[in-house]
Amino acid sequence: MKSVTLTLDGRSLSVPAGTTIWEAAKAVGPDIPALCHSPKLRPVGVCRMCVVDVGGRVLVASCVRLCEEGMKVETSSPKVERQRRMLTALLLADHPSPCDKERTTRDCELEALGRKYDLIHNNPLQAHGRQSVGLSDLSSPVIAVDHSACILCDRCVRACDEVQCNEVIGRTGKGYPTRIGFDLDSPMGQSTCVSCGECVAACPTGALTNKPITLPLVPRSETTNVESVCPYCGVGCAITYHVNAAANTIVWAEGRDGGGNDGRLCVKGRYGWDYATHEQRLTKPLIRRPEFYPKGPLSREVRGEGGKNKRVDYAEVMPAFREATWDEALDLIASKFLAIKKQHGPRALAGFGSAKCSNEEAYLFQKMMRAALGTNNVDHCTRLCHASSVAALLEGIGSGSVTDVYPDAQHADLILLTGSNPTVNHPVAATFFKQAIKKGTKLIVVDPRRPTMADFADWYCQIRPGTDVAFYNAVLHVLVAEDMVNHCYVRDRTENFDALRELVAKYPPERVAPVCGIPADTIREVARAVGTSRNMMIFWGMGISQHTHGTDNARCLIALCLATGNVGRPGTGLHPLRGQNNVQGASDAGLIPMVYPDYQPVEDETVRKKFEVAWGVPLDPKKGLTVVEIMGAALTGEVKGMLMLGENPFLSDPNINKVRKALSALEFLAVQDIFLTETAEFADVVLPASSFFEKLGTYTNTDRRVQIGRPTIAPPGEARLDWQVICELSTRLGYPMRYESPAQVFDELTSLSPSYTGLNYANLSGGGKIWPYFPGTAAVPAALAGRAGDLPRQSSAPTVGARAAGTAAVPGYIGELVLFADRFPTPSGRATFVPCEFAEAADLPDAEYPLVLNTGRVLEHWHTGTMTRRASALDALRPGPFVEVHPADLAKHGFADGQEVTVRSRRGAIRLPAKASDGVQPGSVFIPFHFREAAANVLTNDALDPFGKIPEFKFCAVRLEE
Amino acid sequence: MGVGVVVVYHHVTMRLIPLLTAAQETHGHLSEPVLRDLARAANVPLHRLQQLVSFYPHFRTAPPPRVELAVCRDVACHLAGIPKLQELHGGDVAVQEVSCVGRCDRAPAGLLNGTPVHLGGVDAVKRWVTGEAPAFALPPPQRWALDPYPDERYGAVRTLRDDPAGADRVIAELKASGLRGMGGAGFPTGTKWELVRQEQRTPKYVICNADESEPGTFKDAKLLADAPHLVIEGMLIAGQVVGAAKGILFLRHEYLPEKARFDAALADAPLGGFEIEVFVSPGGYILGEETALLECLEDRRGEPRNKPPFPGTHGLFNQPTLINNVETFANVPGIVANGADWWRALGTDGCPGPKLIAVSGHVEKPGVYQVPLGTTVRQLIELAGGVSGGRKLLAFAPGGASSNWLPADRADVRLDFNELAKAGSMLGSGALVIVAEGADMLEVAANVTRFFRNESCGKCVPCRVGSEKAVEMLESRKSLDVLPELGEVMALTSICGLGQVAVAPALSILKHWPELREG
Repeated sequence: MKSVTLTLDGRSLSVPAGTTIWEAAKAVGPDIPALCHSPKLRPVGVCRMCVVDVGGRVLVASCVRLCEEGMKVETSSPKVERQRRMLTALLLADHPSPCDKERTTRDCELEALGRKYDLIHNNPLQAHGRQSVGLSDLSSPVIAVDHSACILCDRCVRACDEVQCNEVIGRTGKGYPTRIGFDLDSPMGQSTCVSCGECVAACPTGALTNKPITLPLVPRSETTNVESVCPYCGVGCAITYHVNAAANTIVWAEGRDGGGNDGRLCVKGRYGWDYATHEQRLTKPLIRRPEFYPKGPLSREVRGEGGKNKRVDYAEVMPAFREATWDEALDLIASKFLAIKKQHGPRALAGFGSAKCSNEEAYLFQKMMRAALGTNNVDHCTRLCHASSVAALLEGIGSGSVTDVYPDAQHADLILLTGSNPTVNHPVAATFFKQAIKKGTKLIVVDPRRPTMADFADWYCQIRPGTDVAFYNAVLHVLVAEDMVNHCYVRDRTENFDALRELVAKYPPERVAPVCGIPADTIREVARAVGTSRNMMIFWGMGISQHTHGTDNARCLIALCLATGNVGRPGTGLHPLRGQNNVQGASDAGLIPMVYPDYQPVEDETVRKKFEVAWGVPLDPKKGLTVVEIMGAALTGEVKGMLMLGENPFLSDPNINKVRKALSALEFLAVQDIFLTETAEFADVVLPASSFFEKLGTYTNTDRRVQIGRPTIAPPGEARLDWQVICELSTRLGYPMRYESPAQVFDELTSLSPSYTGLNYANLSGGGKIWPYFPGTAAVPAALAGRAGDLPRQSSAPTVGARAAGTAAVPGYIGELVLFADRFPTPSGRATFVPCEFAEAADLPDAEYPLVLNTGRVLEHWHTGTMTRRASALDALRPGPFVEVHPADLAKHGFADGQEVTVRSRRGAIRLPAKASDGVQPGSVFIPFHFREAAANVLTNDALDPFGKIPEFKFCAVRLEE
Repeated sequence: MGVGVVVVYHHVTMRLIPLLTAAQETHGHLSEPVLRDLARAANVPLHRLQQLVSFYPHFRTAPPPRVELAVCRDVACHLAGIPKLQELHGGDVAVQEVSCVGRCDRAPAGLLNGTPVHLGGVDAVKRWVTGEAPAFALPPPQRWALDPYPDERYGAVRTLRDDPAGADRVIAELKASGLRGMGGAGFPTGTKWELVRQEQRTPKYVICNADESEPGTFKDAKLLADAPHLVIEGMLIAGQVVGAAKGILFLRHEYLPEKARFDAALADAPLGGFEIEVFVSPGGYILGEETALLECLEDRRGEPRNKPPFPGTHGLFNQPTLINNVETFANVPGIVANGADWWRALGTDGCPGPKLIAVSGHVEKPGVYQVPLGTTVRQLIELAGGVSGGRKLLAFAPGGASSNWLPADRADVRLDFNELAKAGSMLGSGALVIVAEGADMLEVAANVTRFFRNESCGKCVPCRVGSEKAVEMLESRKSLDVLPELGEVMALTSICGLGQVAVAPALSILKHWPELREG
């Protein structure tokens, strides 16, 4: 790269061409003050504080001025310092000192400069200061705006527009009266602001500050700062929690550098953590009182008799339980489980672990179920999430994980986003997509319900619900017909293409157009965009997976990538966006009925022997039941005893009326959770667990990035750490577990999981590591290849990973971002096309139930709301349920926007307010499933995908009633 | 992210400012529902429209009153005495003060529902308000000395099109002529054209800056009305020389009468494949700053860019762009047709070429005068009929509101780039403002500073806050001792010329009339 040599404060230095003076100065020492500039933001040079003298008529802003050959720069001459002092004086004259930031976190950057230049009590412009009043905007539940403290540095504007790309904030007005404004200068709380707080993080003064959530904000030096991660989604943002240790309370949270999130957060991560100290936390073990047998639901909402409580009403449910000691509770569970095992065999027992728990907890949980109880009936919510995607990926390319990481979207020239609403469900990943798009990456969005990302799309295809296979087959048809297939890739890296070609020949766009509702020409355009792109990444979510043909949907996406040669290079690949913070890790750790840790099949005898040796007991040679199958088995009496760790199937599983019967039918149910959940109403024993914020553990995000979550506060009352509870229980079940620490558990997990080779607590600090991790030239563990999950697989292929050799030389190496550069971990080393025919959904609309229900999430809430509805800020932002209905359908029914309506399916009915939205297409409605008082899963269908065993949450027939 | 990274909203396909202008024409104003619809149709965030609508004075978010009287508040009109018209405000009549409307030759001036009017007195205006609106007609065109064509026009560009070496010849002639930019900065025109010609990247653009808005400045209006063919030909030659296929006339919206003349000339012009778009500015003096103008053309707030890079290499849409003033372009055909020597001879010794100067303030015959460059201020005052009312000269600003004021005893200074710089002022925008004895110079200082405060875009701190504080000081006549320090920070650290010079005229007044500091 070209370099330029300049003199900076008398010192000669060479920098790469394109370096700004500010960057050059920062690298060698002199600290040039800046208010508008921040290294992560595009420099704009508006505050002028960073001016330097380069010998010209005027001074230049060093943040925007590039170094030039032979330039002589004075960074702090008296002339320069005089101007900086006056600039500070100008801003301070109108500044409400101390501003909200200075009064709380004590880090207003303007006031710091004021102190530096001795201007606080000595401002030559004080007489002309304008202490504006009435300029505060407190309409947002989480962010306080004080326009009088704003210095118009535009950091918030860039943070909102160019970092998070939420595009809410701009300058409004002109000249001296200019202010920042939200949308059309609306109050922040009434604008399209999504409360990510990036503006607050960027603001140098008290113009934008966090409202207190628990305790008042205090200077950073007065809090304990804990480096951890976010407990919510699979993006796995790195966070620093600022903790008041004496009060055992988090005070505020901040994005942390080093992780994939680059310091960014969304509303849940930044403002949604106070559930941990909610008054409803369980603090003592509970045992169901004898008079509350036979078992059944306790609250009105769970009984299905109406009720509008957003949280379980403890006054209503707690009388059913009495407090107990840990010994009593654990002994009771152990004795009941052992009795059931003795009487009905180990397969009468089942356990749901949780993707909210750590890798260590997932590992110990499945180990206990398998080694102590002898059953493979262990599963978790991955079943409800990406089970079908994983089935298709294992079958097609031999590995269920993502082939490239989400920030690599910046290297794609085309992104296909389908069945995914990332601004809501993976908000921080979405920021990387939006940034890429703003820099020129093209975007195709395919989704029956319009996601915000469609605003950024070059093509948005609002297909008819459930017609994905038809649509993608048509796209593939065009790729073949117009010869846009990557023949070399297909020849060298894949097999079974001929079968695909034969099948998609039957799907010309003209035939598919009426099926999926997309004009044939648009299908062709999309196909040409796919076929002519250099690098394409496909991101997908539950809109693909949660169908009875979810595996087929994913097979089509895999075929699209393979046919165009888009796996194995940066900026390409298959990325099912993982939902839970640790759904990847919990699956990696073996919380799946068919596989041990690292997807080693339980029905493979060699594998089973390996685990029998490692765990010292004989293991069940037959794979276990999946989540929905277990519920079915509970109903029929095949499964009699269950342990639930942090899962809430009553709200998360389809067809709740059936789940209610199943949970009631269980002979014995133990629930280990932080609150008395809807599911716990059916429990015999409830154990007070620890929240994410109370424990140490590792979590694996959607990018295969393994990071450490650290304890920030102590568990309340007698609540215990979950890994210790599992060890205690396992020991009482006759299978002693003794570990010093989660680190020791992790070491055992990695010793049995080739993918996790090389990872340990010592090297996971900071931003964590991405598996597979090959520092240096270590050989790739042979066992990494050819693993199988739900589908039978042979194991033999020797390599996985793109850049195994020589990566030690790469500074900052954190693991393999891109997989399968040369071969796939399949027996042949090739990927397989799996052609599939289009099939309709299971529960189709008819005259009686004319509408199609789609379910999903909202930005502010998480799954069954156990956490988020007890997070005060999130609850304030989104207090209750709604059903989105197209205005035309509302009009057809004669319903008003906001009117409460009944939504009925063939399985049940709920009442909730209707919300007009043209994001859903006519004939479709959408309901988020977080809300217990109007649980969407009362309506959903528990029909399963035959391969992934995932239920069809995204499609069932409903009708609207008065 | 480094400098020069362009954030592309490539999903934006509509041009927003024309879209907003059209919507306002249709609906009368830009209501919130209209803006929401537009944002959706154009697929842009709401704040992008808010940023524009709140920045540009042309846009309104409330329905227009039946009668809207815009009263100019700036220096020429101030000197002429602005009638008190606030009493007419109310009901369906709105009276509001606005920045200079470019009709300083008929000061005190205003706009009645957009039509330029001379605000002679309250009674006359009252009559208009109740029904009889005055008509406005431009005087018939006159031929100016810089026009090389007694009859047949566009000769220069026609010969150029057949001449493979024509471009180099033009640049050589321009350099030999000594033609400098007539918009204020005075950059050598030949050099600028050569720089853009040398750029390899295409497309390139040619922009004619017809956004003159500085108080006292109205010479470009005259050229657009009287010799639009010269402006067009200058742009055509520029396109030929620098290799551009598109030109834009960026016209201030108060010049709609002149636009009609320009449009008519454009319809007759031998464009030869070159496209000229007339872009009507949504308003604001700052758009005369060339990079603010570019920002406006790119649908953003007219906030000047940090320079370098300069428009010659990174201009419109980051492409090489030639931007010249109306008068600069109008001078080019003569130089190309008749040669540099012919043109130089229109000036005086050592000061080549002709110059249009708008004379306003306390003179008998305010108007635009073409004089040889190097003519003295005194001569020009005589040409304009002398100081009005037979009064004595007190002070003058030779280059518009942003030029430093000089006292009467400097009236023999020659109107020339270098001579005025030596005298501590500048030729600026070609606007001579005359003040007769009896005027309150501190009030003139406050008036001029208010203009810059009012027209500051607000992008950078020194200009946004500094201009406001300077006005407060001058109006309250307090802390005037801090004004030089404030002037220094504004001059040295403001992004563009507006902030750099905003306090200079006031400081020049305090320098020449030190007794005013005492208040």
